[in-house]
Amino acid sequence: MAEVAEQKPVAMETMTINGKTVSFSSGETILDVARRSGIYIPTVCARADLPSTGSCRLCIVKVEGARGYVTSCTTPAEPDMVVTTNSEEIEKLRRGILELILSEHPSACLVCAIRETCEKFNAPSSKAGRVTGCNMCPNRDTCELRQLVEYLGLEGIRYPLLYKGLPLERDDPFMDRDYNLCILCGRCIRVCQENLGLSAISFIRRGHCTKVGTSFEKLHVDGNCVFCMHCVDVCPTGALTVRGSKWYGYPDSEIPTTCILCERGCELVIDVKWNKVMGAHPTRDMNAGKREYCVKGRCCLPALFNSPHRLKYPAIRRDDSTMIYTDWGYVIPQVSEAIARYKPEEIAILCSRSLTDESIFALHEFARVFAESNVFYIVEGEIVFPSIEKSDKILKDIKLLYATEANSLSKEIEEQFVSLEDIIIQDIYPSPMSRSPKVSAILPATVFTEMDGTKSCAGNRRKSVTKAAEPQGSAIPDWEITVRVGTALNSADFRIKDFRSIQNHILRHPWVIAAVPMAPKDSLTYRGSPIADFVPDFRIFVEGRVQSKGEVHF
Amino acid sequence: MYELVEKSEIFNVHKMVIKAPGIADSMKPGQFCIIMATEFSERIPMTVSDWSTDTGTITIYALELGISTLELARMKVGGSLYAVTGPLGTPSEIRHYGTVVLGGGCYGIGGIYPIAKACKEAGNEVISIVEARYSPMFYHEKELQQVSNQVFYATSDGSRGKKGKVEDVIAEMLERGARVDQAFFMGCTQMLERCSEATRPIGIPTKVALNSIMLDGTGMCGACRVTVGGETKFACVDGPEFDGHKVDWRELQQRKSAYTEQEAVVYQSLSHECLAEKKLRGEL
Ligand SMILES: Cc1cc2nc3c(=O)[nH]c(=O)nc-3n(C[C@H](O)[C@H](O)[C@H](O)COP(=O)(O)OP(=O)(O)OC[C@H]3O[C@@H](n4cnc5c(N)ncnc54)[C@H](O)[C@@H]3O)c2cc1C
Ligand code: SF4
Ligand code: SF4
Ligand code: FES
Repeated sequence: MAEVAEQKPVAMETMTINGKTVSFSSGETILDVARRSGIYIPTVCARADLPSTGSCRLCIVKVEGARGYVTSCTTPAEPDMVVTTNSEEIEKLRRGILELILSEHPSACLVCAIRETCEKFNAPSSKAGRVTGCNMCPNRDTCELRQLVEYLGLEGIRYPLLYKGLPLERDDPFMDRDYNLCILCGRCIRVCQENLGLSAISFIRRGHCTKVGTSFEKLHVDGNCVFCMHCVDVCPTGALTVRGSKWYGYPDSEIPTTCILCERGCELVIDVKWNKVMGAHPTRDMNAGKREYCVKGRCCLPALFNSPHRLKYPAIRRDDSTMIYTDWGYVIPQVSEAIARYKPEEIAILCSRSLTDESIFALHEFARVFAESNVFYIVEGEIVFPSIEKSDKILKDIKLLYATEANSLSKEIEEQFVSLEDIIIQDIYPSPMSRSPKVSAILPATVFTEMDGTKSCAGNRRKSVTKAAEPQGSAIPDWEITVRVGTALNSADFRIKDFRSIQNHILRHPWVIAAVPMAPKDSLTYRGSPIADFVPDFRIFVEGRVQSKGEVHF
Repeated sequence: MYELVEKSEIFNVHKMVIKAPGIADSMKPGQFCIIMATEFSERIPMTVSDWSTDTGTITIYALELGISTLELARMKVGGSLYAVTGPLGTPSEIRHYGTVVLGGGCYGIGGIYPIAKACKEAGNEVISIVEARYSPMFYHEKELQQVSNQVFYATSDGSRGKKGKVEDVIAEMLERGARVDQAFFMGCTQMLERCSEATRPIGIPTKVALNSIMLDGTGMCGACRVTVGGETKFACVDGPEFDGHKVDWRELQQRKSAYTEQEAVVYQSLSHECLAEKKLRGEL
């Protein structure tokens, strides 16, 4: 009870907005109170998750007794204040403000007579290097300026349209900037400076030439920018875009999931279109810049997962030693026969740290029954057996290697398996190893955006992974491959049958997952494959960072 | 290799003057060429907007859209294109019609120039109408004026000429009682359709330069199939010009957007020839 007594009393005062009595606590602005009370006030520069500056003036309201109009985003609420947020006069002033903003913006499409038919015709908006109007703008389908035009019923722009004529800034990895579209709202600067404390960008130059930029207009990759793209998230216009994720219009669906590229396990929303991962961003209602996202999860996933190099179909080695593509119905019995040819102590399983908990557990269960629990990981190029009683000595007995991240198998590691006869690969990308004559089968697995599951991340948190996109080709989740092969081997001891039974076993044997090493946050690979091999801009980012700062962190 | 001798940008439209003497020698109005920026590039069709047998050059105006035109946009004077194939397509039919109206939008602003020039030389009264979003987006202007009896402008924002589109200028002309014997249009599919609808009611013979997706440009692959008057035609050899009143526009638009997904996906792993990369290679 003592705790309650110590709590500060919350000062709840009241004020009137549009004739409605509303309460507020000290420190709130008129805009805060209005938003909380479900009263809409249009804004361009203000956002609930950013500090306000009152620069666009679109949020003006009338306060009884005060002269003129005040910006509601910067004016503190006061007891007994009487506020009007919408009158004919205010709307007129707002239209005037918006007209001015739009006159220094490529707004021709907004005033075009055939706007509606043209928009229907160009859906999604047409691609363009330089945006000359909404119908060539990557922002069109989510544009805040266009929403304001609708809301205020703006029918024309009385001022001549001025095009700034600034050069396109496309020389950084991942990020395209066209400041001809910028309306100088300053949101990008505030999220970077105030929310994240990075200050990679600021207003540079003066007066009419004011623009957003880095100091001395250096490339972002050479400055403090971490490519978290929160500036893109808050920009109301198409000025800032993620190059690889800008031309699909509005996604068919937005699926929240967890990025499991590293131990942090960031919450992400996947934009899905054509059943593919087209973009990844923080949840839209999440406070912008609560935490910086790393460039891997924010920018690399589409190129990484839609890569034409992905393994798509099961392949098997024929008697004449050539590899042919086949289907699961044929390959599963072949693989289980190959496994049955060896004694359990002759089999080892390379488990990838990047797999979901279910897939990892399935491999452990498989190893327990068919491979004397010979599960190992490759951590920083070294073989690691998590169970202490296993030692490197077993390496020389191994004849069959079942590898789920073949790209981390270096020549040196392979050479440690002196008696190796057969390799089965279960992976997402090809590898130098997959060309080895010892490989008898290649099984294509899904990536984490193509499957449901859970992942144990740093801080003992188990997070959910949700299927967003369709698998490539006939790839299936790792756990499912393991269940199918294990079931074909027909042992009463093999306890897992499906996703649910795996999850039940994880609950009963939590130590299995707890012993799995995690991918460090600075990892440059996914499932043993260098991300840079599949995402050209990532290579530029990493090498650029190493060149300018000597190291790279995420 | 085909050297790029001149290059400039006018609002996303890249003027490229390319050394290609063989093509310049045999080019006719209404024809196009197929170009590849590099050995690994896609083949893309581009209308030849101007050429000179003296300098052995051709001029194209390329709009930057997806990655193939991005490659063109990034090229610098002195660089070379890997391949330029042409002339391709059936040339425009040029004869003495009387009064000819030519309408151009996007790359058609430049593309109608050689047709206008030839029509003028054939003794026609040439009226050119060009449309753009704003006034500074017009290009190849002096040249077009030289070969036209009149040039009309239409802009979306009204900053130059008529506030509206080419068809609005035509409607106004027809209202004033102007007589038009032949119309030619070049631009995006939507513009071609709108303009054809404007000339249909009074039956002005109308030719439109179609831009269906092309691969070989020589009638072999069938990628460029269009339906005109119920018949299947190959735009690359039977066209690109067809009777605008007989084109199946819905089918054309559908076929043109057949690869929207692939075009968006390929943009994801665009290998980016950017400043940052050049710096890494020590070129800056
Ligand atoms: C006869 C003809 C003449 C043309 N003349 C010009 C010109 O003078 N200037 C100009 O800028 N453009 C011209 N085009 C259009 C130009 O070819 C396309 O804009 C270009 O191919 C787009 O390639 P991309 O990879 O940059 O874009 P993408 O992202 O691949 O595609 C964007 C859009 O361009 C169209 N397109 C894509 N590939 C082709 C292709 N191989 N053939 C035709 N259209 C395609 C599709 O409709 C697609 O939706 C012409 C097209 C034709 C058929
Ligand atoms: S930012 Fe919005 S208003 Fe501006 S061109 Fe893009 S879609 Fe149109
Ligand atoms: S780039 Fe976007 S967020 Fe930044 S000031 Fe300009 S319009 Fe605002
Ligand atoms: S482009 Fe191949 S047939 Fe016309």
